[in-house]
Amino acid sequence: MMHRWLRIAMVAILLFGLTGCWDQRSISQRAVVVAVGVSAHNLWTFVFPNVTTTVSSLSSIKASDEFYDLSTKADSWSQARTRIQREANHQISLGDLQLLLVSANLTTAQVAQIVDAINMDGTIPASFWIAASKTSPKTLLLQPSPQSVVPTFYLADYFTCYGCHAASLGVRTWQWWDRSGTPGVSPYLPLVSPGRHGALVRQLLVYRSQGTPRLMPRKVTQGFEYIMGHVTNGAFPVTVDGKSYGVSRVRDRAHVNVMLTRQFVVAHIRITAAGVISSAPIDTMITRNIELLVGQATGREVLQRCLTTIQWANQTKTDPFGYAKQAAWLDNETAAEIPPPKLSTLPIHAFISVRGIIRGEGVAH
Amino acid sequence: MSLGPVEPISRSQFFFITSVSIVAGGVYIWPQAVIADSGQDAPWAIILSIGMALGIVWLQTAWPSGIPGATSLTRMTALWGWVRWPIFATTTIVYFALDAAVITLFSQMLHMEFYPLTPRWVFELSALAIVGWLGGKSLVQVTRNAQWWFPLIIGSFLVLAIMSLVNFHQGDAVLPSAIIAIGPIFKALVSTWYLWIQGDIIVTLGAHVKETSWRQVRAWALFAIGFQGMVIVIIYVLVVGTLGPSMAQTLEWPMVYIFSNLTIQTAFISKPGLLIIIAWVIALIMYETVHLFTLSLNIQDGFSLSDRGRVISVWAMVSTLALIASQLTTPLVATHLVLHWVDPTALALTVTTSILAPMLARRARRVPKPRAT
Repeated sequence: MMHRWLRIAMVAILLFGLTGCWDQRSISQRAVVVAVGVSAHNLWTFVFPNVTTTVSSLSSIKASDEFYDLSTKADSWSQARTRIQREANHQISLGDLQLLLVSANLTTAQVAQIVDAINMDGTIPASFWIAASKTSPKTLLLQPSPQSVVPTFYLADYFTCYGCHAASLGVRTWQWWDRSGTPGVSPYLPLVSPGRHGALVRQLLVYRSQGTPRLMPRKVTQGFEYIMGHVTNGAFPVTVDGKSYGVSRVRDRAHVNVMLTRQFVVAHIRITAAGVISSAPIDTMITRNIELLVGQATGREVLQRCLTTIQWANQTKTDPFGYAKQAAWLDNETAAEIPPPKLSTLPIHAFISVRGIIRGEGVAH
Repeated sequence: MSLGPVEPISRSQFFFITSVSIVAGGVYIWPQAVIADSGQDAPWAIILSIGMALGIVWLQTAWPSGIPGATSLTRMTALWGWVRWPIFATTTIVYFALDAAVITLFSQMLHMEFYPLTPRWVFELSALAIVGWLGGKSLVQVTRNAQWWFPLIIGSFLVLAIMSLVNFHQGDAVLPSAIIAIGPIFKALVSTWYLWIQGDIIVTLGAHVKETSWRQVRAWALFAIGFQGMVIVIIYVLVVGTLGPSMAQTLEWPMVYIFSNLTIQTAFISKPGLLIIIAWVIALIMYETVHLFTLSLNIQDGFSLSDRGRVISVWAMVSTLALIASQLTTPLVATHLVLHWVDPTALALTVTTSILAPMLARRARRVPKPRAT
């Protein structure tokens, strides 16, 4: 008899204990944060989906009413969080955060401080996207777009949409955190600029170990996409025998072998870029020979962009590719002789070979 | 001398129970310490550690054959005489310290990452209540649980490990360093030893595998060590290949970090990493159960306790664990206890006893048995 009561008592304790009741909050008691923006003047913006929006009201509600924000001035992540919580009548829930948008004017140390603080806050998985903005993050985050339907957030979906854009330049917050703390790599962020109905990502900001980030020009960014093997849907025109062809649906793969010396990093980069001929002169029949020639022209075009990118990295003394990091892992003896902050500033001697391939489309004309 | 609840188990059940007594200890600390101690020399330390563990298990299964006794403790009588008591006491203390540290790290991980408002003792007491309940059951019941849960734990781990390959971009970081620094490698080797203290489990439970010889028990025990060695290598490769050694060593629970950062768009749940939490709760419970169950069998055998006495001893041990865990206030304190106390003690104890035991056993076997008059 005693045994049975003990058993019942134990099951009761387990049932109550294992529910995690202390943390249990229904969705109506939570304010789910989908995005956070940080301006250069310490203005923190927390964006929430409008909980009154229902499936039936979606057709009548304005795009600008689907999300609302709470903003505060604060010196740090924890202060901002506390202040926003003070204003909110629900529990701020950050576990579903989709995007962190920081001002492009913040220095490396400032961004690192924000990311480190969020990363140390164990309850927030660091899988949300991180990006930079030249315009006020608050304006960009609250810019209505007919494309955003709660609870998904337009800008976060923009990065998630793999293969939609020319290249996938999205950076997850854990990746930035990892790169910012590893010697021999300059972390980068995609720069988001406002578009007419949404946003555009066409350039990168590369962070040096100190100071403000360097803006990577558009052409250089295109080269970077190829060097990193990030191109998923590229397109550009090439000229063969004075005739113009359009190459599209370009995807690329990149492979690199690196070597470290005390003065520079040597990188042997092999890129394979494969696409289809999407437009050809009206009177031209696509033959195997033309495919080969267009493929070669594609290779030359990609090579030119890649060389520009390496040149830019050497001019700005940055290593967004992480070649020095990789080389240091392979050659610990040489790496031990170079101070860790210097690794990412080493010049890169790159040997690039690009193979352009035209995949047959089955249509010859 | 009675040893009530022990029935024969199969060889595969022995494999499951030995395996489950290893890896849960690993996931909450591994591989932070080994990287912190030896940097890029860590692969050498890991290879050395697994190799040494296999060697030690070979020795641990070389002595029990022909030595009378139902558990590790009574078998040691013929070898060690009264010295068996300090050996057993040290083993028990090492198990207590390690188990308390692991349950502390487990509760702190849940508290930090998932349930910030729920007090830690809720997780500790809930888990320990199940451990006490299961630890008081018979060997067959404990092994059936291990047999049921172990494939599920390993299955969910492997599914997530395969999914995590998406973020595996830093393969070069996994390669061992060209500079072999003996000091750091040895330090890292010591810091892995909390993984390899199954000697008493293998000797105690190996004796109850049906229709087998110690040679076969050895083969299954080595298989279990090899299998779990593979698991810790996978964890190391994933963590370092995803984050690189510099950042991997800054994380208290790197595996949780890697899995919690997994996101998928095509399934109903977007955070598949949650699966591992369920798996690790079970892994932790089975791990602590096997430890306490084996200790309780030895105590029952050594002190001639009744079955009821064994169950009481299990609950006494559970209470002691809860008490020690309540004193370990932060993850750093728990990790410090494991790395600076459990590891060196466990290494010294296992190496010394494992090397001496086969020699003492040979001598013990030569002593003629007293004839019945």
